[in-house]
Amino acid sequence: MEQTFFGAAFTSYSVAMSLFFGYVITRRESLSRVAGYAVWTGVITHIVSLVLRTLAARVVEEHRFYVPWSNWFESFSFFTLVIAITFLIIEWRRGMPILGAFVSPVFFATMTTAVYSPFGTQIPLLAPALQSYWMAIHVPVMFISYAAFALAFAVGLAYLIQERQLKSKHPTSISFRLPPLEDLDQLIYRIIRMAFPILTLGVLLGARWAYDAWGRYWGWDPKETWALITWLIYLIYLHMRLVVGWRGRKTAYLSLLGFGVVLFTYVGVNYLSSLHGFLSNQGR
Amino acid sequence: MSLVIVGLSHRTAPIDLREHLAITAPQMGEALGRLVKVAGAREAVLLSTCNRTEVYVRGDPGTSHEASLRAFFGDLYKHPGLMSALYQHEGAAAVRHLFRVAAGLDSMVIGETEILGQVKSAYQLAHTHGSTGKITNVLFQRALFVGKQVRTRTNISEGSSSVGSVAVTLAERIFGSLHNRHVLLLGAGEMAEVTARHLLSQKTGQIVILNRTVEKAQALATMLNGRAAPLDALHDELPRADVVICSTSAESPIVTAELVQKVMKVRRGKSLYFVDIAVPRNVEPSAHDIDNVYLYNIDDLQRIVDENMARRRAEIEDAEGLIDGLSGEFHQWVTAALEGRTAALKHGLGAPEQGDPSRES
Repeated sequence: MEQTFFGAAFTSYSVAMSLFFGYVITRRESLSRVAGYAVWTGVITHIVSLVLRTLAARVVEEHRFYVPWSNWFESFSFFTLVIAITFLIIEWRRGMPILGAFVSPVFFATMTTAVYSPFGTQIPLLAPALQSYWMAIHVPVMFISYAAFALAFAVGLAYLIQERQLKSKHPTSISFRLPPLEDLDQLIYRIIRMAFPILTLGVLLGARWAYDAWGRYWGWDPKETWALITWLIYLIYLHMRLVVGWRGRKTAYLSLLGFGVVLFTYVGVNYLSSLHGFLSNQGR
Repeated sequence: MSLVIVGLSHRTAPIDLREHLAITAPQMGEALGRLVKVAGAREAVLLSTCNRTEVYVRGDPGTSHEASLRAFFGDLYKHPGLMSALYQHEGAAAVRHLFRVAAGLDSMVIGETEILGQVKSAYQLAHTHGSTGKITNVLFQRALFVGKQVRTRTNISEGSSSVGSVAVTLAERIFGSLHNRHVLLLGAGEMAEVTARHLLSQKTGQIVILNRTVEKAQALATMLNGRAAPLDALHDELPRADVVICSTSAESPIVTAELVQKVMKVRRGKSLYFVDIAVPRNVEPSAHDIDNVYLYNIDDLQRIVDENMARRRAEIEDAEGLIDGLSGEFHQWVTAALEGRTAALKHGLGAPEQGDPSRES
């Protein structure tokens, strides 16, 4: 059952991506609307599959705190869900369906990464550190901020394309399919302004959990170090924007760089950190 | 088949001839009346714009109305070149002509949309004056439908067709809604006014006009509901503006890249858009290289217009094909209707299948 719902979610996300691409090519509003419904369908079936998985896993006593984001597969799957939900919220608030064409490949990629997990898709045996209620608090908070940064990345890409179009003095039809430059710039800023406090909270909660799990708040473990670097990048973004008065292209590049660092902190660091290597089955 | 169109347009007649033949709305009743009484039309619609004057008439079968319709034009204005400027089409060709006109294929600016409204009001005027009937009613409603179809199914109306509207389109690409965006005019010449009026057709924020002679700026400011100041106020006004339209006759750039650099610091990087339609140019070209500054000169804008028009021309073939199908279908309907049979007109997409016998019954 769980796999059926998961499959339906994956299919919905893939359909949504194709429809968003179709929308870019044909400019038919109806396609973007159907694509939006497909994302909704994906989110709902996805949630159902995660609930079923959780119920199945919690049968075991060590898994009484189990939440469905504990290994590579689950983590990327959950990340996909959070990105999709964040996209729906922003699309609902701002009404920029074209962003779907930039965001849907992101959640399609994370979902594919989940499915092709090098460590299988079965329910994992939890590492001791993960057998904690903190798992249900720290990780989702981090993922909400990561998902927002993924969106800022997508909007940043759209911004850079639009900016290049207008600077070229040769705007093509692409320019007309993208939102206006200043709107994109504002949106990147708003997303990061919203996500930064969430990231800060996530890191603090992580420190608190680290105290419970390993007996110290901060130990310069690679994951912790890179989380700090991520935090600093977005701090720099906000500083440049609010204090120095940077806008536009430079800040859009910062949003791209920021998400690159997020991805490294999220995935790459697993191979550096023996403590935090939960995705690569090295964590303790 | 007794559908006839006689008329002249920018293709056959120069402006001094067209302006004498233009029929205004108040004169329409009298002219239509004359078409019915004198020229023997059973139904008549008169389409008169600055680019064309055409009469669409349903006459009696077997009667040639060409001579009487030409005489109608002759009565409007005596001119030696008139008769050779007139063209006429009958039957299927008349239908096709109206559909091409409605689609903007016969317009001076290909694909322009104004003509659709003009066809509509010509029909409505004729309808009010009671000169339309069964055939012209369906013909003109069909023409409006075809005009819209051609524009949605081809890209014949895509892209702005004038420098002024391209300038506005670009402003919207940068700022989105121009609501609350401040406009600064450097120079109060005619070009500045035309472009500003394009901008003001959208709702904008404050408008400020700077000119060497303040009186001229003041005159334009009154017209555009803005504020006037001397050109020396440039340094104070520039940081507040979002869209700057330059058209002064200054010999060297009055807006230097250095000035723009300073202004951008004050603006904290908020986008600044220059439309420089002055020759020689008012804004130093290298200002375009500064982040968040977008500088378009008259050639840049004209090139975009040219490209848009080229793209529209590339759509002509598709549009003509669509019209061939739709006018053929309408002609079948009208022939059947005149013979007292019934036939259906498709309202969906797609050209009708040619030679389908079921369509005839």
